[in-house]
Amino acid sequence: MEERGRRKRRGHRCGQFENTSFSEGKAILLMGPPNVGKSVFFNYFTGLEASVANYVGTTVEFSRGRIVENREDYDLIDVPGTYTLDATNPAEKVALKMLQENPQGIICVLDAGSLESGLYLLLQLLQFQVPIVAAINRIDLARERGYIVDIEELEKELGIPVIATVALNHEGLEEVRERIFKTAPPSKTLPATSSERWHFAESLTRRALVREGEKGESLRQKWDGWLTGPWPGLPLALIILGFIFSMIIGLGMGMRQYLLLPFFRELIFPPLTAGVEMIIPPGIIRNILIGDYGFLIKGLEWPLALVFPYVLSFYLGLSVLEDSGYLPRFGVLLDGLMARIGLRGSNIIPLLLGYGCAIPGILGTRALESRKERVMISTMIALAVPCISQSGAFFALLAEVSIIVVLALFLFSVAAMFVAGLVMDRIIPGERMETVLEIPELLVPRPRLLGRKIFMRIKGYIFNGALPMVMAVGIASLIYETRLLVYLGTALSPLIEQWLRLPSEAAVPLILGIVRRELAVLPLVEMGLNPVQLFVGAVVALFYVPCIAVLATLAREFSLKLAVVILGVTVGTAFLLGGILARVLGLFV
Amino acid sequence: MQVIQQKNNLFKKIFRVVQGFEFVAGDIPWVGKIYHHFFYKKLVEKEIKMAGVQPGMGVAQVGCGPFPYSAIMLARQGCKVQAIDNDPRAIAQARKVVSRLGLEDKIELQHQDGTEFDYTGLERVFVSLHVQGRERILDKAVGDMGVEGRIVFRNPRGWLRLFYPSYVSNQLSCQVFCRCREKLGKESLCVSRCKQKSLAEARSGEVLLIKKVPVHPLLPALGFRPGKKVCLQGRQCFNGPLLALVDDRKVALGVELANLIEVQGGE
Repeated sequence: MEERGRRKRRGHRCGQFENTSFSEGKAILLMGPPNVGKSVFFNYFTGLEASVANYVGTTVEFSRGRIVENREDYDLIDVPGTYTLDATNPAEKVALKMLQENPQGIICVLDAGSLESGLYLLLQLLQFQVPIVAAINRIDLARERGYIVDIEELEKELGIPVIATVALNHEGLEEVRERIFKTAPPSKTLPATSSERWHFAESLTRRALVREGEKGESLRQKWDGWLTGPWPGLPLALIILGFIFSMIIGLGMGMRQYLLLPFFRELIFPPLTAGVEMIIPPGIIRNILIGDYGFLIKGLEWPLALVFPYVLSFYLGLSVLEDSGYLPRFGVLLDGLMARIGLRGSNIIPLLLGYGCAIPGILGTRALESRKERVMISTMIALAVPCISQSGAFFALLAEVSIIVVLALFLFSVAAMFVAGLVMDRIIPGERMETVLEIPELLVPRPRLLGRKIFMRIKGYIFNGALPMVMAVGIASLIYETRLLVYLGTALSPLIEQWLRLPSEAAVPLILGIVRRELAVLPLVEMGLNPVQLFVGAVVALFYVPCIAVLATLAREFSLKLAVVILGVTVGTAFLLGGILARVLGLFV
Repeated sequence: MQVIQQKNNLFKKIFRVVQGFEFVAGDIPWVGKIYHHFFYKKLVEKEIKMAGVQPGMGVAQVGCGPFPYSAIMLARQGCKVQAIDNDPRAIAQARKVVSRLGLEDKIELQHQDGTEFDYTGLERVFVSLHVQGRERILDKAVGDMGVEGRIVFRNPRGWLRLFYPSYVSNQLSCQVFCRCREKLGKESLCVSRCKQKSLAEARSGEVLLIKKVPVHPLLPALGFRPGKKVCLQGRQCFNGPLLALVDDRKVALGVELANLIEVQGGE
């Protein structure tokens, strides 16, 4: 435990694809095909928290951590997964570049279930004359299918240490760690051309993978059949999504209503208000602290009592979906529909990540080869995918009116994404990429891992979400109390009162919404709007500025020009649709 | 019998409308451009990809019509094209279009009936939807060409079947290699004489031997290599990907890519 704690403090650096340099001869690379569990190894060895999920391409940027041996520090680098080293996609290019910088050693993680192609990659790695330890991971799943891996045969034929592991249970990991520092570079001559390598890998797999009697269809395979095919996969997908959606809303609302709101309103705010009233005389400063937009009141209530419960329930749902391996299956079910807008089914994963926060969603597109795809998904996220903070705000704003309005808003956003996709597919040049996607095994999520993952995401929310929100509420109370609002309200009144038909106070969310998405919604909660105004306000907020951090991410990942274009498109769409809806809905209600 | 008669009459009427339109398209360049961009560009591109057309191949288009769009696209791919039609007016108009585009040396236009044409030595034959007696043309072309030859023709699917005759694979003397869903109720089929077919043509649950795989960065690593056994597990709705199992590994494959993987019935 002591050892672990020390390692943890050594810090964690993440790199982008462009910046791959490290101190020469001091790095140990974790390599292997995608989705074999390299990041689980990384987290175990370094005590850090690289993100882990059950689909191809979770690690889109390499993570670097420290591993200590004989009082010497080594860099352990979690390289994005690669099937081969032919440099045909971004991940493979990073991997090759790292190999050329003289690493100290390589831990090559292979999946016992797809030994053959793993061995091909291993053979490619062996030609670099770097000490290698091979870990054959997920031995338990192979055993379940009725296979035994002959480790000795592999060691004999490859001439390097080979260790059987079950990374999630930490089986065999200590041995990998011991062996990597004691291994000499490979000495055996092995095949050097592509076809020879495949031939070698095939024949070695035949010898090393021993079938141990027939096993019937396991429960895992049955579920796999049900979830992956269109029947009953499509209805099941609807049920699963419906369940997750209601779980997120129900759990979030319950926590908010019965735990957090009473906690803050009855236990925290009264003493806080009393304390401030004792110290600070009535006037602007007291109002800024505990008035209508009171920095201490709303600044605590919004991020912690209003948004936080949904953040928790959303990440619970998302993490379960991620770790079970359901997301790629869902993507494949939708692939035919996504093809209509020039995308692939697997693109659903960054889009869903965007419902948590847009930034991981946009970064999640890094592993894609096609720029058109990256730009399309990032724009769709920036335009119409509400992050979880904003969704939480929507639930607070609309769910009390009716849950159907919430559903309508989300369907509206999906429709907008589809239209945006259709348009972009036409105007952005480039071909649609063909779908080739490995479908991972279904796994039952492990509570311990889920807990850690959710904890990490909550931590991320507190520091990157809640704190900026508190600051922004501070600014809001300043605007409100210094009567700046009156001037702003007058200046913006043609837009707000005449075009959108909202009260002039709605200038506040429009200003704050530039900083963060949910702040374009939250101030509306207490304005006593009528149903039409509520929906119009929500739609404007949905499409409005995609928060400053997201714009910065877009500019960094693509270009400033694209970020500006996206900003223009989102703001334009927001006001255009808002005004039209205000008039159209006004006719009916 | 009467139903067939009615269907034939309807078919002829539609044919006249389409042909009339193509005459206009041949006369006014920008109309032709827009017409083909909307109705044929994607379709012909897909067909060329599906048939594995390589530059330098000898190709015939049967029923080229007054605006021989497929022939033009094929010529631009670098093929030597022979375009035939049994209507002399259509051929005369097509000559004008071809010479305007400066493709006279690549496209040879002939007034001839597809059932009598000699297909020997050609590698690919494209048959248009409006050609009558397509069955006989297919038989003749399959007989004339070698085992490597492939024929692409269009079938109606869905609502278009009400107006057009369609062929199903068991009526044909040849093996359906692959097929491709198109817009506006059409599908393109690629047939050949030999027993090989593409993975996309396999039935669910069928175990097949892979013969040839297109150049692709991921396919070999995922187990799609010649000599491997593949089991088709099913296909997704909305013309979505196929699910294939190689060595206990499940992979979703887009239909267009599966069209290019050659397989043979495995025992």
